[in-house]
Amino acid sequence: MLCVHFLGNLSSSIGSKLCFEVEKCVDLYSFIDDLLRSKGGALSVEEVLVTSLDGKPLDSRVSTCDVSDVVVLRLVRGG
Amino acid sequence: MVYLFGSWGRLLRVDLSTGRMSTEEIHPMTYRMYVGGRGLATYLLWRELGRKWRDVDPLGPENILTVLTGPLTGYYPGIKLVVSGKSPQSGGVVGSAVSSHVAYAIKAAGYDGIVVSGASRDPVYLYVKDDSVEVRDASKLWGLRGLELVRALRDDVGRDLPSLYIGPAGENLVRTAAVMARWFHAAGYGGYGAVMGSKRLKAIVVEGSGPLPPVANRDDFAKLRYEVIDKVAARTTFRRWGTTSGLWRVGYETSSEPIRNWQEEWHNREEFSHAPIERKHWVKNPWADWGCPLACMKVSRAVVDGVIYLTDGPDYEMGAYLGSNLGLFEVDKVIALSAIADDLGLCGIQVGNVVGFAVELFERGMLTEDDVGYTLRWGDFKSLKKLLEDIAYRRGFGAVLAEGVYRSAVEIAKRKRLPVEDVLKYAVQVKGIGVGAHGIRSRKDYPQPIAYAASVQGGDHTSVAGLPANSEESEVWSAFLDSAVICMFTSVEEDTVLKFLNAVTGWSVTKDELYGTIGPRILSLQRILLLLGGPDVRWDPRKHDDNPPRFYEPLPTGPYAGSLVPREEVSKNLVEYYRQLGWDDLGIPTEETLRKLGLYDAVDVVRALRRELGAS
Ligand code: SF4
Repeated sequence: MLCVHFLGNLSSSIGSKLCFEVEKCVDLYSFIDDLLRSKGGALSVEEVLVTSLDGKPLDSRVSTCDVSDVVVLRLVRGG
Repeated sequence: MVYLFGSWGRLLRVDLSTGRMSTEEIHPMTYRMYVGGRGLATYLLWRELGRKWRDVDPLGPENILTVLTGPLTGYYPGIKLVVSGKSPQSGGVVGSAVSSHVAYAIKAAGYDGIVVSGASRDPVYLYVKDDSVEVRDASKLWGLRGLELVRALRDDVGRDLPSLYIGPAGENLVRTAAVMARWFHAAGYGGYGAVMGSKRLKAIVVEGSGPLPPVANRDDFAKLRYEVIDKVAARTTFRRWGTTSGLWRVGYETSSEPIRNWQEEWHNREEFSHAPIERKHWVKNPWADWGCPLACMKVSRAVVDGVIYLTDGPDYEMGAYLGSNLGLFEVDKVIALSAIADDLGLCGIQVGNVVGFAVELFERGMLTEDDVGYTLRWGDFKSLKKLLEDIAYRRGFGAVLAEGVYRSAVEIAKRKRLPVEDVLKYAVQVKGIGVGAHGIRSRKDYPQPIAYAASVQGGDHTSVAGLPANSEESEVWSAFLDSAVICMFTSVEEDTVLKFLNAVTGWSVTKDELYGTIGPRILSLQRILLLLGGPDVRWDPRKHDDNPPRFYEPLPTGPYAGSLVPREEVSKNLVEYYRQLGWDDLGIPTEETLRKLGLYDAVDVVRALRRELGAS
């Protein structure tokens, strides 16, 4: 099970927490990218920060099987 | 002995009334408290003008113009500087960031920034070459538009040097005038182009040939620099499309783009998507500001009525405000309007906002041809172009709109003998500053419902408030980026940015200190100065800490039609945000907070402010 927690405005547009059964191990960043796009937030993973629950940024090598909870918040604002 | 790294601890001061030039040493502890950039500007303004703030005319010689770098300027990838002063728009302090090579040049000349006071009688420009500073005659440059001016400056100084400058709008004290850089870059929020104009200062040219100030921890710095470059360079989509992609995404996907003065926020105009714009208009991509690995800029070209226009992007804000907000969806004409605004030295956001407001009033019959001198229509390039020029030169009705959207609404109400609220309801602004092109109604974009209502920079989309106050959602983060002075597009997570700051400065700033003291200290001072306001504007938090009325109307079209922001939610979140910053329910910093932040000299000012507002 992988739970994705959203902070800030992402929580009101996507929900504060979404959980998924992880069927196969895939790159976490691609997973989050697909998730963001599917939620219509017009965001890509480049614009968010993905961290562990205690706020440590997660490496792009992490897979969906390595973590159970991740936090996503919007990093790039404006433009 | 307190050592300073990353900054020189020295500002260049120029008094244009007396011609006196000097350097001012700034104590290392001041940097530790305010960091630099926006924070240092706020400190300087508070120190020098705070006691007489209300009486200071932003366009009078008593105002000061600050052009400041930060400790990360030149070290952190990307380049920005922050222009500030008492804002002719809000009456407060706005940290107005702009990408400019001048930032690097200032530091390489041995300063952390330039502070200009007084006003010259005749047009001048400032030429700084390391230790040598000259106030030069600019009578031949006065009146020139951006592109001609850049060429003329090059001829005058003998080569292409980094410069900040104003166009005709700044000279004519238009409150929506920007401080321009490199043809298309603008420090738009705040209206500091008019402040430069009021000082008869046409340009600041800087040539620095020295080194940057020393770094505290070179090994950590080198490692972190590569780490940040790697992270930033991985943003390949942003590099490829820049903010231009927002023209489609923010309109179609997040439904938060201003359309016809924010009457709608959704469109499906495919011609506004980045791929056709790239195909038809981009003549340079990528284009980088000094030393930036992200290189998000593009140069676009269009030919309209036989005239060639060049601008950047158009970047999202310019495209939205001079395109969809004016009902104009023909990209070549949007590029043309954007290039015209750049050339006149107008802030594309603020001028697009006030023009959209005027067109809506015209459509509603609240303005007529008798008032304006011609017909205004959505998407009508000719009249829109003429109106931009009229504003920049304060011609005819343009002189009313040159005052910015808030003051124009008040003036139009007076002329039409209408209750001011009946006109202000069409002005999409907060505390005198037109709201940036990111709406809050669909909730799919980044600004929260209190983003603008609680911001110390009003409608500034680069400095939005948000909950929780101790996270990147909060305005503390924007204030910090503008104080360390890094580009928001190259910023990475706070841990790394703080490590970077500490490696350069030798400080040990923690997240707790950032969110608990440094950020709230800067915001508290900005907030106090904003509430003091004056001389012609005064903001009452009970009335003005709010969204524009339009944001409470349901979205009429698009996938989120019907969506709006409930007032109760805004009121509740405002109080919570203020509480988290150590402010009272009206958003006034408490005495306990001020003492904790070391702002002892603000205690009596705040006491008087509270008394005046009838707050306990
Ligand atoms: S990210 Fe873009 S705006 Fe920021 S410094 Fe780099 S090129 Fe300039």
